[in-house]
Amino acid sequence: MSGEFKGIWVYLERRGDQIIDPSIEVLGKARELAEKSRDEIVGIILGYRGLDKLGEVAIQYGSDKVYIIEDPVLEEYSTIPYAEAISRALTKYKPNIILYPATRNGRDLAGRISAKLNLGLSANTVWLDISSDGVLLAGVPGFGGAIMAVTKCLTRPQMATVRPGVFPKPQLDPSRRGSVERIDVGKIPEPKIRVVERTFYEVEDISKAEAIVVAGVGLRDNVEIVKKLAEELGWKFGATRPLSDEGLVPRDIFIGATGKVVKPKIALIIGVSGAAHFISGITGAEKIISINIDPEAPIHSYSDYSVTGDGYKIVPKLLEKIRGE
Amino acid sequence: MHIIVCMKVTPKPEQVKLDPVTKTIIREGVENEINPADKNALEAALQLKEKHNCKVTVIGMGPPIWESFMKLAVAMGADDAVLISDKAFAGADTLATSRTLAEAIKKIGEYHIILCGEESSDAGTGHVPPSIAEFLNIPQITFVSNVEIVDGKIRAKRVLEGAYEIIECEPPVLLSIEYGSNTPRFPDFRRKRWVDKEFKLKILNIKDLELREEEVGLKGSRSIVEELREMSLKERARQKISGTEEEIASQILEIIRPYIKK
Ligand SMILES: Cc1cc2nc3c(=O)[nH]c(=O)nc-3n(C[C@H](O)[C@H](O)[C@H](O)COP(=O)(O)OP(=O)(O)OC[C@H]3O[C@@H](n4cnc5c(N)ncnc54)[C@H](O)[C@@H]3O)c2cc1C
Ligand SMILES: Nc1ncnc2c1ncn2[C@@H]1O[C@H](COP(=O)(O)O)[C@@H](O)[C@H]1O
Repeated sequence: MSGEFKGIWVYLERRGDQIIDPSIEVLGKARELAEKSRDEIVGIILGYRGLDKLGEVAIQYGSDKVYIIEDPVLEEYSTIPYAEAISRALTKYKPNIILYPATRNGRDLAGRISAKLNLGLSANTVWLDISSDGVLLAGVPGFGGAIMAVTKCLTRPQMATVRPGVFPKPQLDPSRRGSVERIDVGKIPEPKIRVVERTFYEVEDISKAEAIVVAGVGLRDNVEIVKKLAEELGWKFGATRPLSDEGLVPRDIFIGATGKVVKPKIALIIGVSGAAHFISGITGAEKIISINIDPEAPIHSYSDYSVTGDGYKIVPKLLEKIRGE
Repeated sequence: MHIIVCMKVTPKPEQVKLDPVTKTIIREGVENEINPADKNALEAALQLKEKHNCKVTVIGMGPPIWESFMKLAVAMGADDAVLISDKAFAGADTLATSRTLAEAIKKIGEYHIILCGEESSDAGTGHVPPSIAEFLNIPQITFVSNVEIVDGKIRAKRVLEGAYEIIECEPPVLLSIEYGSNTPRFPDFRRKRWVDKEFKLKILNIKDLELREEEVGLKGSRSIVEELREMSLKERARQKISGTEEEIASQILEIIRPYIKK
């Protein structure tokens, strides 16, 4: 069936004049798949102005070719125009596979395209493989990440969103060459919604932390001491999602299935129960030390060293000792 | 305005295990709950209802055992609940699920706002909300932490990685509500008694929705599960550290010393 469907496309999500890292990670993975299937990698960028430069960057990260759809309506991401433009391109060029980063906008977009074109879609994949005849096998995490379903699409293009932080970002290779082409998909529809405000803010990137201290709900009454501890150690500070939801810590530092994936050499985890949705963000940690007051908390059995004890008491002692050194 | 909340029932993730031999999910003894993000969606709907006198209908596509959870949503304050249930719907992927829910929504009649959860705690795709919106040909605003009705327009705060957007839109629109964005209320005791005694849950099957078997369930799916794998979690040393707080702190310090940066 895949006969007329050729190539692997990667949706290159942009923020301003940058391709975001999750897209570049997908490019890296696509390159790896292409070693096996001998597919051409095509990056697709939507936007308005300044896109050629991004095309060149995508080529240096692993694209063989880049398609650009340029239109004033596409300057900022919006579901309806983006979904329509990409759907038309997919129908016209018939790639075998299209991968999207599983960012919030990536998922917003892919879900819409799936229904528009009646295509199967594998979600938030953390593992990808391809058969020699071009069938994509995609690992979808379920139940917070405890179980992975290996899925397959029955339709072409095969579609998957790919979880950020799971696959490594490839090296930039300035010697790579490829073509950047503009494609025409006809008149693009209006968004049907109006963005009255769009605010970007600086976020601390904890995903590359070498060492991290993590606070959970157990320490909610004094998250500050855990932050202090991280500071004194020169480590990054992370948290569980409920602390972000409550506004006690920034949104972009929670770890887990819907948050960041971290792979530190060491993690000190305090007042965290160890829910499946949290654990799936920290499985890559080399060493885990945890402090939890409840001897039955699941986090104990997912630790290399664990303490049954009161974080409010142990953390100050630890701070004292570190300062004394 | 009429608000429809799409609600599913999910097993508590921590209790789910794979049968090592059959590689299927062991469902016995696993507790179910209203999908956590859908509870937030329902709460958002009920808050709009209180302010603007909206009608709230909850719909779910699932097996008959969901009945008690659909009723729970009514006890929490929803006006009506519809369970979409038929053997033919089993095994649906996100595409078939969305198509079925969209058809059910059309059957239910006039609507202004459709609320979903941001994602389900079992499948966790977050793809159903945008797919429903496409099938209904209405706009969507996903990952919403706050929604208001202002002069008949919908105004929502959408949260992204390191960014947020304030979006305005004319109804009808579909929103997916962020998990943890509000505190869901408990069922009202008196209302619960009324529900148990008198409330009749509507059940719609494939004929009611005028769908064909090829369009729903496993047959209507365009992605299939080849196999399930337990994610092999790294074996951890599980060493216990104990003693007085002083001693514990010293032992932790010994372990982390090589990693201290300052
Ligand atoms: C769709 C969905 C997505 C989710 N995504 C994520 C995600 O990405 N990341 C995430 O973290 N969660 C996520 N969650 C939430 C997750 O299920 C858990 O609710 C959450 O991880 C629990 O956080 P916690 O361990 O801090 O709090 P709790 O589960 O409340 O645990 C607090 C722990 O602190 C201990 N404690 C109490 N007092 C002390 C003390 N004085 N000293 C030491 N320990 C103490 C308690 O014994 C308890 O074990 C998600 C949930 C859903 C439904
Ligand atoms: N079977 C279902 N019945 C009702 N609503 C559903 C169903 N499946 C998904 N949803 C809705 O879609 C949201 C996202 O689900 P998912 O795309 O599976 O992560 C959920 O939070 C629900 O609001």
